[in-house]
Parts: sequence; C-alpha cells; structure tokens
Amino acid sequence: MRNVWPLLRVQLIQTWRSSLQRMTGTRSRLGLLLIPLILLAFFPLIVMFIVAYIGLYMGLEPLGQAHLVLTIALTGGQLLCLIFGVLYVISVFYFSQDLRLLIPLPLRPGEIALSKLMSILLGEYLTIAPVVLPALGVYGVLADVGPLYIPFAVLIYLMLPVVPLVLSALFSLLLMRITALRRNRDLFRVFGALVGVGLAIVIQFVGRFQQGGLRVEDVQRFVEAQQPLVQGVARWLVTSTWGTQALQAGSPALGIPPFLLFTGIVAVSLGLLVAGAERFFLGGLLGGDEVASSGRQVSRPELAERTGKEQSPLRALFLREVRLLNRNPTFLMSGVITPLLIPLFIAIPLATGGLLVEGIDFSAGADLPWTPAVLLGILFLLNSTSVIPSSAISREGRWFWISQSLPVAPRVQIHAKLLHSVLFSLLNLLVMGVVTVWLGLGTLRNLAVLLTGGLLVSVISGYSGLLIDVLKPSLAWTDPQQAMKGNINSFLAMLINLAIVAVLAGASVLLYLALRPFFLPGLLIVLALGAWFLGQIVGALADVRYTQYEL
Amino acid sequence: MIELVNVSKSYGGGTKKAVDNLSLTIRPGEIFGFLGPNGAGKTTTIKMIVGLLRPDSGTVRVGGYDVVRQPLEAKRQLAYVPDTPEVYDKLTGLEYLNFIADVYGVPSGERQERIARFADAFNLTNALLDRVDSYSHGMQQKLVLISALMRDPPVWVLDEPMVGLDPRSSHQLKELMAEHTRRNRTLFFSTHVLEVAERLCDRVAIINKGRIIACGTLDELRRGQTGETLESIFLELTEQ
Repeated sequence: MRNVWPLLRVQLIQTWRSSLQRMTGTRSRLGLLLIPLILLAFFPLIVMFIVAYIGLYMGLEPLGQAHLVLTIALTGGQLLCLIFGVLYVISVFYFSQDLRLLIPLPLRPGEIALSKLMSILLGEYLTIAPVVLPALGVYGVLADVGPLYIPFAVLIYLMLPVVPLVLSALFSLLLMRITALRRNRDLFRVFGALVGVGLAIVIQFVGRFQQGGLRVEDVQRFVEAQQPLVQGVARWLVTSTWGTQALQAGSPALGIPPFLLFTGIVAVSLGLLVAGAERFFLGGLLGGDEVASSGRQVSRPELAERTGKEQSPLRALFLREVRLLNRNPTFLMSGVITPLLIPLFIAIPLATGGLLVEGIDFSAGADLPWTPAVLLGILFLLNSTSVIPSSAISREGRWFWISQSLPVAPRVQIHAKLLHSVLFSLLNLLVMGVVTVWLGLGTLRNLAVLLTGGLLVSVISGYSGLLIDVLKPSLAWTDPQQAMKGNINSFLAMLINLAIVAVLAGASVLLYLALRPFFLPGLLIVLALGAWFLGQIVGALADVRYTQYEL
Repeated sequence: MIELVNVSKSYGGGTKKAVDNLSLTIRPGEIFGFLGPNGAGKTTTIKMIVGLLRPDSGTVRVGGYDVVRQPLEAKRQLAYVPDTPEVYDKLTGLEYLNFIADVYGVPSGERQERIARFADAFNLTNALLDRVDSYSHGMQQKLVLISALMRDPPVWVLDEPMVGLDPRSSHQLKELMAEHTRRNRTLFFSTHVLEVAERLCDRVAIINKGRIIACGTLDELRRGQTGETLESIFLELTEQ
C-alpha cells in the first residue's frame, strides 16, 4: 500500500490545483473572495439545522433520549454520503480519464481504489457538514459531555463518510464486475439513481424532524411514531450507534470502547475495499473497456439517407446539447436526479398527510393575488437546484475547442444551451402544475400565470446558471462528475438565484402596494424584462469570454 | 490568404513567451510547412490563426479577415485540424459530421456527396454510424479531417495532420492537399516529418523558442547552411 500516498497526492493536485495556485499566489486571488460568500450562503442552512437540533434536543431530553440528536445527525450524514456517493464513486472509480494512465503502471488495484476513495472523501466532508456539524455543536453545548467529546467529535466526523463510501464502492465493484458494465453504463446509472431515490425516501421520513418550528409535543409525538425507523436505520449503519455512544459517554472509560469499535469498523471497511478491489476492480474495468463498433457494412444509399437535412445552427447546437447530456449517464443523472428528487421530497409528506398540511385547506387561498406569485417563487427555487445550465459550458470539457472554432456567435451557442436547460425546467413546471391542481389551487388564473411566468422564471434561472458558467467554466475535468457535482458553479448559481428571488420578492411587494389591480400582469412584465436583461448580459459576456478561455 | 503581423503570445502572466513578434504571409496556391522542435510555438501560432488563442499583440488575418475583430468571417474561411483529434465521444461519426455541416451551412446535397466521397477516401464509411468512443486515434483523426474538408473552405490549417493515419490515408491526405492548392487555395500545416515537408511544401518556416529562424523555399534555406536536406538544415538551425 506504499503507493497510496503518491497516488492520492497526484489526485489531489489534479482536483485542487486551481485552489492551491490561488493560495500560493501563482494565480489571481480574486477567487478567494468566494470563500466568505460561500460561508455566508451556508449560514441560513446551518442556522436552520441548529434551530431544528435545539428543538429536537429540548423535546428528547425529558424522555432521556437526547442522544438521538447525534444518532440522527450521524445517520443523516452517512445516508447523504451513501446516496450521493453512489454516482460519485462509480464515476471516479470507473470513468475517470486518468485510469488509462494508472492501469498500465505497476500499482495494485487496492492502491488505486483506496487513493480514489480518499480523494472523494474530502468532497464528502463538505457535503455532510451542514447536517452533522450543527448537531455535534448543539449536543456539545447543551449536554453534559465528557472530556473526550471534542477529540472524539473531530475524529468521528473525519471517519464518518468512510463506511458509506466503501459500501457504495463495494456495490459498484460487484456490479461492474458482474455485468461488464461499461457496455451498459446507461442502464447501470439509471439503476444506481433508482437506488439513490429509494434511499432518499428513507431520508425524507427521517428528515420530517426538520419541518416547521418544532415544539416539545411534536417531537415527543414524532419520537413515539418514528423511533423504530430511526433506530432501524441507525442499526443498519451501526457506526451511528457506536459514534453516538462514544460521544454521549460522560467518561473516557465508557466512551473509548464504542469509539474503538467505530474506528475498527472503519478500518475493516477499508480492508474490505482493498480486498474487493484486488478481486474485482480490474475485471470490471477491463471486461468491458472497449466500446464495441457495430462492424456492419454501410451502403452509399444508407449513408445518404442517414446524412441529415440542412438545419439551422441553433437547432443543430440544441440537438448537440440534448445528445451529449442524454448519452452521458453522469451528466444525465446529476442533471435530472435533483429535479426528480425534490418534487418527491415535497410530494411524500403531502401524500402521507404529514405535519405540514394537516388541517389546512389550501383551496381557500386559490383566489388570493399572492398565490400564483408564491407558486412562481417555489418554481424558481426548484429550478435553481438544476445543475444543467450552470455546467453547460463546463460539460464541454476538452471538446470546447469545437465550440470555439465554430463560425457561430457565442451568444447563439449560449441560447442553444438555454433552450436545453428550459427543456428540463419544464419538468419542474409540470410538477408544480400537478401540485397546484392537487392542492385545489388550479384556477384558470393561477395556471395561466404559472405557465407564462413559469417559462419566464425558467429562462431567468437558466440565464443565471449560464452566467456563472460563462464567467468561469470548469473545462479541465478528468472525470465527468467534476463538471457536475464537483463544480462550484452549480452552488454559485444557486446563490445568485436566491438573490434574484429576493429581489423579485421585493419587486412584487412594491408592485402589489403601488399597482394592486395590475399586480400579476405587472409581475409578468417584470419577469419578462428581467429575462431580457439577463439574456443581454449573458450573451454579451459569452461573446467576450468564449475567446478568452485557453485550453 | 493567411497573414501574421508582429504577433506575440505569452503564458504565465507574460513570463514565458511562446511566440515572439512573428510575421508570416502565406499566399493562395501555396503549401506552407511550419516546422520546429517540441515547445517551439507551432501549436500556439496555429491556435492564434484559427482563433482559439488571442494574440497579446499583432494582427492575424485569414482570407482578409482579422481573426480578433471579425472572428466569425475568419472562421468561415478556414478548416482546422488540431494535433489531438478530440471529438464528442457520445455522438456517432455521422452525427458529428452533420452537426458541423449544419453550423457551417453546408447544403444537404453537397454534404451527402462530400461525406460519402471523403469517408470512402479515408476508409471510414462503415464506422460512421458508430459512436466516436469506439474509434481508434487514427479513426478520430480521419473524422476530424473529413469534417474539415467537407466544407471546402479556401484555407486549410492542419496541425500534425499525418499523426495516427495509416499509410493509405496519409497518402490520400497528401493527394487532397496537393489538389487543394492546385485550385489556388492555401494550406498551412505543421509537421515533424521533414521528408513530407520537403516533398510537399512550396515554402517552409522553422520556428524555435517562439521566433522564426528561417523561412523560404528549400533552395533559399540551403543558402548559408552546410546541410543539403531539410533534416540537416533543421538540425543545424535549431542547434544554434
């Protein structure tokens, strides 16, 4: 295993080179300004979790179950790693471009797998931070913890993503080996995503802790109803139980044994990963490495028939976007899974009569002037989670030279990308339409505003994603996930969208106060003007920036 | 047809000069070879000609159009084949060719005839309905060549076009290059295969450390040098 560190070092340099260069001053340090911005953006989320965990602690403490705060946080963090780790692990383990360089080297498969897992680990710390860190903080402050709480909390946090990532890795190792998956990767990715969706449903039930302002009686009612589920999930991820026991122990004598068990299972899981990789990694990788050509004869008439009719550059560029995304499972799943999951997260509590909607008759508000505006706001937030516009240029990666050399104005190319992102936003619009009708809000006015405004909102959120990616695309990726999940542009676009929503909300209030009878038409006009204005900015930026990227 | 006037380009915030005050004029009907050691500035120069890189100073014109000020018009004048033929690997070969034909506005009839002709010439017809990720390096090179040639632009800019091609395809390409210039069109290509440059080119330029150290016909280059072949002249000049 002596090669793990050199391998990891190379992977880290590849992944974090630009950040390192900024730190060492060899590149512009402007990007460092993003750090406080990102922290600021996470602030509301962290506050939300802190408030939820405090409420939970207060509710559980009288029952003597306060440690469940830790169990839920540790379990939630691990499930997050498991769900979002599946696609990430498969992508990094099997579809990284550096594999073709690594495989011929005298490296053990276990060494490659271990170094790749550790490089993923760093990203996972950021993923689980908003869920896990607030709970560790809240419990540490409110409970009577022992002297080893802080060192244990740090070490447990550092080891927490290991077991779920190893589970994801073993799952993908086995599946790749059995089905020679590189021939059927599309199918495999869909399968992986379905597994993710299934697990997300479990999380969503656990996540019902976070709904609304928690009162003591809500928590007690919830614990009585859901404790078997929480404990069931926690038992399944046994590290959550041992982690909790180590952290809640008042004395070292009580805390060290479960901590050692926790550490032991992490070590065992790493051993399992190495053993699994030694046994299955190369077989899965090489078994289906070649992409088969059809090998059939193509006649002149067939070629002539299949050669397309002339079409406009915009249409050709749009079709390119569709094909390149649809045929790359990493892109497709990363782009589609969020818009698919979020409606599911909303739909389940509604369908199961959760805390949020009990006893509320939404249809009474159908004719309120604010109803369609609120629906548009929700749609905007849903759209803002899409990574499709904010990775539209990044996804081109090493092929970007083609776009740069085309005799088509960058602003036209950008609009093909916009159309593509709007196409995916229609999925959210459809979901919102169904939910609107289901809640009894589906009046003609509401649906008309939702449809018209929804298209405008989709255009605006598309432009804002493109704006970020035009400014700073991440073209030098070696594994497709780096263009999607590993691309900070998606996060930045979400921030911009939040800011736009805030501005639009303010504009709506002003409109309502100043022009009440024309509130909704006025809102639509504001949206149309906003879309046009953003379009002008993004188009002009594209015209400048496309010539400045140097591959 | 191609004109570079006092063109310079640096990397690393101006610390490394890749191309230093380079001036060249390539006329219609001329095959122009661009030679130089690795890292001499060949690809940087080519990328500036085709608009993939912006020069720090100087002017690049293709077909009379300024590459920086009139990029779209300039791009319509040329076909570019890069040294690494990276093509969208999830498209089929034919989808890629159709895409390029659409954005360059090649009419249906012409694209059918040209795709069929060039695919036959490079023996790629049977692979055109397969995805590019099933192609070898040489097949991708052929696909990029076909996508460039089917547009029939007046200027070809080819960066190491023979790399990866089998002997038959390499021969075909040389024939096409000769035919292109017989129609009074321009061809600018870089190569490390000095025999090819010696046999095909009307003029060559040798670039070293970002500067043109020799430019002219082979006879002109021989003057003042002890070597007779392009290889010996090249070695002599680049050792200095």
